Amino acid sequence: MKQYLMLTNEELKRSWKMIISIILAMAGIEILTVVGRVIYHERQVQEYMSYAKVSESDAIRTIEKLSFEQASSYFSYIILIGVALVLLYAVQIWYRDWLGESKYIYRLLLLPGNRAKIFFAKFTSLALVIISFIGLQWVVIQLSFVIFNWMIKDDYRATSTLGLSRTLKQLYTMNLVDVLVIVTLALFTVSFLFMLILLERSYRKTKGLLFIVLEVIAIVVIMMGGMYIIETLDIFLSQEISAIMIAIFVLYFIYTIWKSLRLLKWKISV
Amino acid sequence: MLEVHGLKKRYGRKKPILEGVSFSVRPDSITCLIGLNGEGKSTILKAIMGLVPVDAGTVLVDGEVSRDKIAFVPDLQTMPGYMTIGDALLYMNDYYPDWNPKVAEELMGLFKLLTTDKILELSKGNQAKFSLVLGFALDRPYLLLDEPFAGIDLFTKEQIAWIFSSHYMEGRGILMTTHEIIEIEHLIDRVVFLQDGRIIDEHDTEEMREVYGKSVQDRMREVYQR
Amino acid sequence: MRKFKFVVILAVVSVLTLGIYTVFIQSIEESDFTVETIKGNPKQPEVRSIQAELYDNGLKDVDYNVELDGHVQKKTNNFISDLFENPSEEKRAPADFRRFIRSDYVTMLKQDGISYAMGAPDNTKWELQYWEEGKQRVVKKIFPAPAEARKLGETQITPYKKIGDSLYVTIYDLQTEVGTQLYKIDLKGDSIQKINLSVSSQDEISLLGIHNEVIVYYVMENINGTDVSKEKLYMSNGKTTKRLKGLKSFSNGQTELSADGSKLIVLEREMNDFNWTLYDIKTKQVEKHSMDIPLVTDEFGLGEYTTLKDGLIYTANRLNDGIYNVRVIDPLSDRILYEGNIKDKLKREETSLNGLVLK
Repeated sequence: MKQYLMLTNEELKRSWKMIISIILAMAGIEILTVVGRVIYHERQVQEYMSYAKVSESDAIRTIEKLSFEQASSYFSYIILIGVALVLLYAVQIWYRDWLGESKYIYRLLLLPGNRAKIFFAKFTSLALVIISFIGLQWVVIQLSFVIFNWMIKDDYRATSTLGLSRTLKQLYTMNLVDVLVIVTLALFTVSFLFMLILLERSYRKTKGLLFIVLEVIAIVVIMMGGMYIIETLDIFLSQEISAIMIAIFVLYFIYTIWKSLRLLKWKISV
Repeated sequence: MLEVHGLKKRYGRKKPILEGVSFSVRPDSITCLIGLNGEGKSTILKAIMGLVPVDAGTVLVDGEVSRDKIAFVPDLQTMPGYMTIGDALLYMNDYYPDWNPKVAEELMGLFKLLTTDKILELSKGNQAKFSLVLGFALDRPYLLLDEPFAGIDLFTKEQIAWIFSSHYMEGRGILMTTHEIIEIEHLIDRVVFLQDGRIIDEHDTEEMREVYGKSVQDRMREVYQR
Repeated sequence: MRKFKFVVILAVVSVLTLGIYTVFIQSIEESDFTVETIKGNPKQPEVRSIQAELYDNGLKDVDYNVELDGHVQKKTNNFISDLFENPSEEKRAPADFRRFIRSDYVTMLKQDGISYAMGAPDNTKWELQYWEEGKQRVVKKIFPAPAEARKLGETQITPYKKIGDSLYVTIYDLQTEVGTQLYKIDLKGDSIQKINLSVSSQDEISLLGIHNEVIVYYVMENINGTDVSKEKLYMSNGKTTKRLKGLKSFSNGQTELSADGSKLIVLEREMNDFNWTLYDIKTKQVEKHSMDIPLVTDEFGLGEYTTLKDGLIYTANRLNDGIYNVRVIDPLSDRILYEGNIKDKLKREETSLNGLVLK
């Protein structure tokens, strides 16, 4: 347990600068977009006032007031970039041990004890990064909202209560069960990626690629095939279908971890 | 005794790298694996340490299937790039219950290495010496070394060679691969000749010298120039 | 600490930030509903089955079901609960009944707490299952399809109404989408009788009511050579059919035969116009009625729900300041049988009216 935590710490230590940079960059860009939107909106109103020679209130009526929901409309794109970066990190966290001047993978595989801790250390690192990102993004939303309210003139503001865009509402549903579901789905993706990476690192070149393709086909077949069988049989109620889908998901999730551990123990090659 | 039995390894449909390699390493001795480039010497060491999978074969250490009695010094750096020597020593202390910090300190002094130096900024010779520190400071009866003398200057070679005749060798069985036979021939107890994935010859060096009147180099020429 | 520093930092960041999120969630206001009765009694049979469905358009996804005796059910949804939500209303029905009703070919009628589900898996037999709310037993019957029904292609059976021991069902051909037939199923005697309505096989029939074996219905007849179709109103006792003239337009609104079978009620609701027309079947007289209902729609343009059921008009309308006015009106006498106001103490703008559910 102690070694697993130390290894997790080591993984995070190696990525620390990158993690902090991404957090600061994303937060900075998001806040800047909100500031920019407020300034742009104000400018639009002023320009319309001089162009159409109307009063401020008339101009606002035409241009329409600005809500925080609109001002934060770029957040979903930035979050998408964040998701892509996390996926890249999930790949880099393995490949960096093989590539470069030193080969840390030797050190990891030579450590005493079970090699499973190598997998779980990297997995936990991703988990902590993902959960922190979700939490920090919420803090940035709140901070941006404060900045928005402070910057915008009262007459220009549509509403003083916090509103979220449709995409943000999917992520922040105000229900902690949903956070758990999102994190679980994210970790499943990470686990699946890890399995593919370990397949490649174990078999390499053509054989590695072949096994990756086979695993991807397998998951597609399981999903499509499962849905097809359920539709054809037509005997299940919707809750029963949901239960079956969740069971398949859990079993496959366990499979990806089991397969990865097996590869690490028996097949991995430096 | 470190016993290797029937190691077999093949990459795809190509010619097998190892075709049933079996040999043993006695405690308190130095065994040298000799072969031309690409004969699979490194692969054997990595296979023993579980760093590459094999198609068949077993490794026994004093009768048990366990790698915890073997230390391995590969021919490259294995610590994360940002680490200083001090970081690496702390790392080894954290993860290895059989790490001996006293031996590490002594060797660091002997080799004149500083804990503040970044590992990847060291010269090749110092990197090689540092790798030896990591190997010898583990209290394990067997030590595998992959090309410990590769690409380093004569003086560093002498420093490293010294360690194999020092008290740090007490109770240890060493298995190494090397091309630098001349410098250490006098230290080697046993040689194992590898060709085409098989062991084609093995001798105690003393026996070779006294009975057959041949040095290791002479025997190498005989074996590989046939 | 050196060995776990970064793990601890990220763990603390995760816990703190999710903690901030949790605190925020707890701080979100939810509507607090009370019901004020202005007229009538919420325990009246016409009223106690009413549930007003409201939902929260704000940050938190909350559904409110408000009964007029003041009882409020709140439901928050999440991804998992959405996966396990029962799409039909028959949440408490036995599993095999729920399985039957999800088939494509089955349609359902709910009346007086009993759900009647019927379908024709092929055109040789009809399946009927019915279940009473609160009971575990499902009654299952299979009837051989009547001779005339077998002539149709893929058959859609729709249970229309249960009167006494008889269940009236309409059937029509799903492929041609015309040729409605009306049948009366005797649930005690397990027999099926075709009710002859004087219509051609090409006409589409809509039933408006059945009283004392007299069926009131209308037909959309195509005027030859044009795209225009005309509504024609009829009444029939299965032997003779009479055309009912005098009522101009009735298919756009909700139309029903009154409980005593004497009048046709046509309800029209267009935002601030609340009208209904009464058509006397005997005298062919038409009476127009209206009522003033001060509706103030919300920012989504919603806030009104009106329906005609079992001869009564049920209407819910948003007034200002988080108040929803609910009325039950007898269209024959213009009397308001019940009126109540659902009030949100917090006057939240984000809450909207979904509709009224009449159980």
